[in-house]
Amino acid sequence: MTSTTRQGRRGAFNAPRRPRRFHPTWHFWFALPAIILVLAFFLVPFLANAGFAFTQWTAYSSDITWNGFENFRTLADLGVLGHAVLITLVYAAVSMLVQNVGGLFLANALQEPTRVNNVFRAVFFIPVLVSGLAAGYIWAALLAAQGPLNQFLSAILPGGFVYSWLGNPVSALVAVAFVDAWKWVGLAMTVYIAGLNAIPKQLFEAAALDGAGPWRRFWKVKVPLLAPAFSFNVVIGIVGALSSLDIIFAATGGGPGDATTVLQVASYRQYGQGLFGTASALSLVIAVIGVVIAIPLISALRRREVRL
Amino acid sequence: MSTTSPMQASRLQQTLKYIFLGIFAVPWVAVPLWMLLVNSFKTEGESSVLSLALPTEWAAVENYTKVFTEGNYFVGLGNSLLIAIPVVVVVLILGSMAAWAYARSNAMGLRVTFFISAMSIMLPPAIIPTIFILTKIGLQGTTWGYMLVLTATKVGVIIFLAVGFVRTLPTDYEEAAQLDGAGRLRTYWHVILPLMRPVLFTGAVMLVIGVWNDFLFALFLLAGKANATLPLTLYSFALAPTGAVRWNLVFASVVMTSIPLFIAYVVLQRRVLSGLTEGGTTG
Amino acid sequence: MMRIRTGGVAALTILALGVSLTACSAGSSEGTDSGDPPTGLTLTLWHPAFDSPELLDLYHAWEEESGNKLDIFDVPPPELMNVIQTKWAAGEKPDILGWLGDPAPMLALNPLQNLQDLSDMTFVKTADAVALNGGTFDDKVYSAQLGPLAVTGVYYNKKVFADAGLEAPQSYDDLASICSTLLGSTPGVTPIYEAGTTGAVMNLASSNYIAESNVDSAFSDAIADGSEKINDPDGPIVKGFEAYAGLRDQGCFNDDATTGTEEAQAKGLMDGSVAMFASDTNAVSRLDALADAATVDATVGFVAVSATSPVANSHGNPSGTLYLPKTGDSAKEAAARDFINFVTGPAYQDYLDAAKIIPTFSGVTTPELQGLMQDIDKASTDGTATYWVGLPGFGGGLSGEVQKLLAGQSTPQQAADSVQTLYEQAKAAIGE
Repeated sequence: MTSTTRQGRRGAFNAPRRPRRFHPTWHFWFALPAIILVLAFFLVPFLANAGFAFTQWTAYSSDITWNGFENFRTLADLGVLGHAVLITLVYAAVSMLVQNVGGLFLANALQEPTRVNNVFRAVFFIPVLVSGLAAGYIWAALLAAQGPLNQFLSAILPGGFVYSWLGNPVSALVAVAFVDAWKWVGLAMTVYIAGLNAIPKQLFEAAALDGAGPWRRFWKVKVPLLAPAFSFNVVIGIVGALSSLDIIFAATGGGPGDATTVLQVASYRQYGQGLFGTASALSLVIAVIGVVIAIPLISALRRREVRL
Repeated sequence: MSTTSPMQASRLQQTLKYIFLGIFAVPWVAVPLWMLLVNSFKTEGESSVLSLALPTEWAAVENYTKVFTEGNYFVGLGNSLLIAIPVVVVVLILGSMAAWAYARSNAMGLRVTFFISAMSIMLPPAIIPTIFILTKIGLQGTTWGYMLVLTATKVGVIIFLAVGFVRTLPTDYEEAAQLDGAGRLRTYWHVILPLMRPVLFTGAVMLVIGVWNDFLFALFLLAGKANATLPLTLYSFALAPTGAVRWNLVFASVVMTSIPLFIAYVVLQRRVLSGLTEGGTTG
Repeated sequence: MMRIRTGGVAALTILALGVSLTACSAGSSEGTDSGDPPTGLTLTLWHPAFDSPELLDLYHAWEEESGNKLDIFDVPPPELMNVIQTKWAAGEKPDILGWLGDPAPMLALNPLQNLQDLSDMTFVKTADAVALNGGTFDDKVYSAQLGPLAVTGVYYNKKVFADAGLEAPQSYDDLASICSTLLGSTPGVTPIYEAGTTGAVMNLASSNYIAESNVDSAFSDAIADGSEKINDPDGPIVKGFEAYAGLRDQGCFNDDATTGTEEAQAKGLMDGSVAMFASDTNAVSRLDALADAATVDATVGFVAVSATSPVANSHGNPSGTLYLPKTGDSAKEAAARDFINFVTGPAYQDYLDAAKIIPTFSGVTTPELQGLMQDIDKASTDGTATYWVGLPGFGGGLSGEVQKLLAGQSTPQQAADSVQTLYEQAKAAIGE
């Protein structure tokens, strides 16, 4: 494993110097097709969009003029900006919590690749395959006021049970975040299993010899070593929550009122009204939140990777 | 504790664990799937009640026939396959090539483009400028334009996953190949690509799911019935002429959209899960 | 065929007509109706996916007639605004566009720049005033509306009313008293079903309440010239919101009002678990989907209800409202005009007879309408134009604010303040 330590010593971005001697620019040629695509269809549209955030641009007129922070002010006046940011953060937090607790629990229970475990893994992975729209429709139906969940609760509770899960602002927000988690928990599970498998068995044996019980071993040995898997799941979870649109569209349409109108939905609404400047402004807010949350996480992930 | 041996205790524990998992799986997976299936067999009126009961009046044949005929199913299926397969293959190749280069280079320019690629995963797509660019190059509304955008927006995931993975690989193999006189492309194809298999497998699973279920880009970038993918054909068809949701048809559509992916999953399930759980997502 | 008394609006339209006819005789630079229409072309048509089969038959009939082809893009209704606005903003345009039938959403297409002026076309001469006004901006006609207009009022279950000894409502006080009677006598019945997931909440919360204040477009004009503000604490918009919140607090609405759907609404009214709901003409097709026309007619009635008196209001319908974008391809633009001539001219009667709807053009025979449709037709005779027609910024904005009001996330005054801001935002965007 000499190469691994060499790699570690050099750090993440320090590539070996030797290949350069062969062909100084092959790196560039290999990356070029991907670079062209990413620049043309991600960076250029993204920068254009970021620029539009500071313009007066609507469908009503073909003139586009700079207007500074006017779009942000308008959104704040309408109460859209702060509310959507708050809703987005709550959504992301709930979704990530459920996803990671559920994923970790399942991974821990199903780590060994036995026959039964494989069946359970396969079952819990199924929701990952379902499209966001489908997930939204399925749960909108399950949670409907007269839907299966309430039918079940009415059957076991005295006096029946009527509650509009998606009709109350708080429960609706929690519910859509839960649906998001439901869809992705299977993936989180596999990532955690991969993480658990990467932990050397000797560490457990050593901990067991030291007299640590299963619970202690879980917290003291597994959890710290799962940090990379955790970072990965959190980043993917945040990304998913920030760009979540189809689940919310199918389940609540952003309602009741604006209780589930996350930034992405709010931006989409502004587009629909032909208010492209304010829509771009909301997109930019999503980007900024993504960068602020994800970049420290990614660099933390990379540091740990080096330490391992 | 004195009467049960550790073995028996762990067996009891195991049994309890599986009973618990089984109970958990019922509302988590079985009920949603059952509701989906059973309501797709009902008439429009009966499905609007959204119960878990078996249909009193079976309309399975009617519903699914409608999905095939009015729902333009085979056109959508054909387009989805024709789009998803090449996109996934091209993304894997371009992404792994770029990842190898990024992992082995310290050049400033490449560090910047790697960072941009990583950002592309987490930032929402800018639809209007994208349509504008496609219009300028004459590809807006076409399958080619859509595939180009999908490829460009998904390649970042593979780059991000694979760069971390390649950095953990020793350089010995590639150096040996170079010393044997293999060119870069040969080294990539015969040495690097096989080494990357676990992480690319993980990436491929995520890609297939993402590309197959893509709705947002398809909605804006594809025009006309002839180009529609499954999510598009079925979404527009499932809505009644009045704009209301016809649950029986929505669910039949959902079943039929998910089935190709589901079949692939059942066939490849072992590979998918072992690939994912052993793969390099954490690398 | 002046079906709806619109006074000033009609006068305005006639004025607009005069101006546009003069413009025509002075020689329009746009394509004219004369000359042989081109054939062998493929035109793109974007339309809402909820258009009726009869309407699509009409479109297809033109393909046979003209030898041209239509490449039809069905826009899923929940995404209608977004898809069309987004593609439009990126410079992608169809040859024929099915889009909302009111000036406000039309303004959001920047008509002067982007739409063909249809003022000199034949259909303009026979078009219904409200329909024509819906497509008119700055004295130019931009849309052809095939109808029916969306006439808004209250649908009620006749048997529920008869059993409780109730008369059909005429005012918001009636709604409140009917509600309290029903809550007392028949607790199993939902007095008013609100479909809170849809834009239809605007009807009860605002459009209907204000209908009687908008005779001769009086209220719209007052908002437009600034003599009244949307958020005046004593203005009809705030009063309407308050009346709406009052009905909600009284417990008149369904428990799941915020997640209510229009299909559940129709179903409840037909089976008698719902006593009333406020909606427009399009609800008839939802009701007809549940039972045959005779049963629907026997079960359901339609009445006009406004703040204190029975006044209906009407506006353009997103289904069958056609615009012709300027595409720069003169052959296709001419073919698109030929399409409009065909669907509003020789083929229109066939469409009416097949779809059984209230026409929006004179000189045609109204088909035999089902009883409910006749009620609507009658109610519309003394109706006004919906007040937000022509006021920019009201489309998604008003319905969004009412949905928040319904969910208890804002007070009537706050909701009105937000609508005022949206209106000013849109006005600034137009550059007024």
